[in-house]
Amino acid sequence: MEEPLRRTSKDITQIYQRHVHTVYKVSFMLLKNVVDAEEVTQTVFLKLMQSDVAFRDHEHEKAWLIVTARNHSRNVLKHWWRRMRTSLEETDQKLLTEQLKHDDTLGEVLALPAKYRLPIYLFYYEGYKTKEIAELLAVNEATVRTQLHTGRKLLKLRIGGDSDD
Amino acid sequence: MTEKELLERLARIGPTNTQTERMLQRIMNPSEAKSKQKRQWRWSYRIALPAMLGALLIGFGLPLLMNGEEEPAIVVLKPIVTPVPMSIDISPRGLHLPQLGEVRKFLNYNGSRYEFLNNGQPYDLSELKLEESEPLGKLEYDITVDMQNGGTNGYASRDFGTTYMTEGILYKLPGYDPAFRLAVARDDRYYIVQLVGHTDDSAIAAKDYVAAARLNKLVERVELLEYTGSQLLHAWSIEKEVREWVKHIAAFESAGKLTNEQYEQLAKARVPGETYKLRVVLKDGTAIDMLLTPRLRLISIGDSQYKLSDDWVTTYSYLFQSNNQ
Repeated sequence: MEEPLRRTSKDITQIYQRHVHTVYKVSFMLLKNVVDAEEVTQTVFLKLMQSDVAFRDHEHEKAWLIVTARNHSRNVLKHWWRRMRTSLEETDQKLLTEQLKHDDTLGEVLALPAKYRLPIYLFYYEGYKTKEIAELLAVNEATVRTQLHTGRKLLKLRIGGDSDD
Repeated sequence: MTEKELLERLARIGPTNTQTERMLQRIMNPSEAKSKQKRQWRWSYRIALPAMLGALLIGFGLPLLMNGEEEPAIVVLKPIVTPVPMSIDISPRGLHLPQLGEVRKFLNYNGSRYEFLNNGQPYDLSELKLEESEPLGKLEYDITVDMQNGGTNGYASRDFGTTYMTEGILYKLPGYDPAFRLAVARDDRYYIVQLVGHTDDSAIAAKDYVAAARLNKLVERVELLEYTGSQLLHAWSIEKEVREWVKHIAAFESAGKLTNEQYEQLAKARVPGETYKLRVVLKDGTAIDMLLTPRLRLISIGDSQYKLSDDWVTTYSYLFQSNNQ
């Protein structure tokens, strides 16, 4: 049975406009796939429609969306059958997938192991502090620092053409 | 890489304006989004794939057929699309489930019952030149009229009895075992019929169905959908997985004639969450829809019911546990 909606379309549209880029990018950083990232983004906002969580402010709202996107992306990665299913790609999605596939510099970022990608994104792009990232990802602050350090190192090594193998 | 370069790269991930608008539209209209996705998927199969395979057919299929090669070529079955409002389901794939009060479109031939594919919509079979082959017979017995008169003529189980396209001429459909599919020609239009049962209501052995339909060769992928068919839950397209599905289907044993109580249970279970649609998608762009009811361990193929084997339960039951979460 479908859950009743807790927020109006207007509420959702406003929250969507504020955070869609963050939610999509978090999903894409984890899934590395245009179609899946779109699906996760949609699911996150649909969950928000059905959720009765009350947000203190926009930052709290954003944090909730990031965590939900991270959790849902992980679920997608866990389900082998989702990865095997037939992709229903729109024309522009196909084009984007091709463009991203051939973007070598972005490829370097996406080639980072999954555990480094999200902290790097949250730290550099979203401007979160290590303490905040630790809270979002439910890990120790020291772990985040190590992940950022290693991620930075890997990116630098890859740019320099050295292999970390 | 500098921090600035890193930020530029992350910015390129998107989403674009088109993506942003599309996602918002789907969030606000999830059901419409699903049907749009479904339509788009169907269109891709109805236009792009048939067109591509059509070219292959002209290049390779027809010469093979004409040379009488042992391995029949895959014939692309192109439905003739008539413009309809977009809100109406115009799925060309699978068998149509009749609505209440609607007369089921079927015919009888050689002791078997065949249902009209795509609810009796015509197909473009002009390239097959059916009229140049020997007809199998004429659909001369109108079952609907007979039933209205109490069924005294027994047309319902008589060969060449039909509820649709009376006076149509029956032909073999090149590339298919006549035990599985046939073609009907009437008024310069062509229709396809597909095996659903025996006219004496005895069950078809699953392995015979699989053999007649050449599922080993023809299946492209297998999909699990929710009961109404509006939501795709799983898909198996890797050859090994598809082969395993076909093997399971061939091994299903007939459930025999169900008791009234069993029929009642099955009827009650025909709801989303209890019964699922198993769609066997063929390389010719059509599909065979089966109804799977895991709780009762039954699967319906055509008019027959089969028992889900222990092997099947061991392999696939986890899917239905996760769907209920």
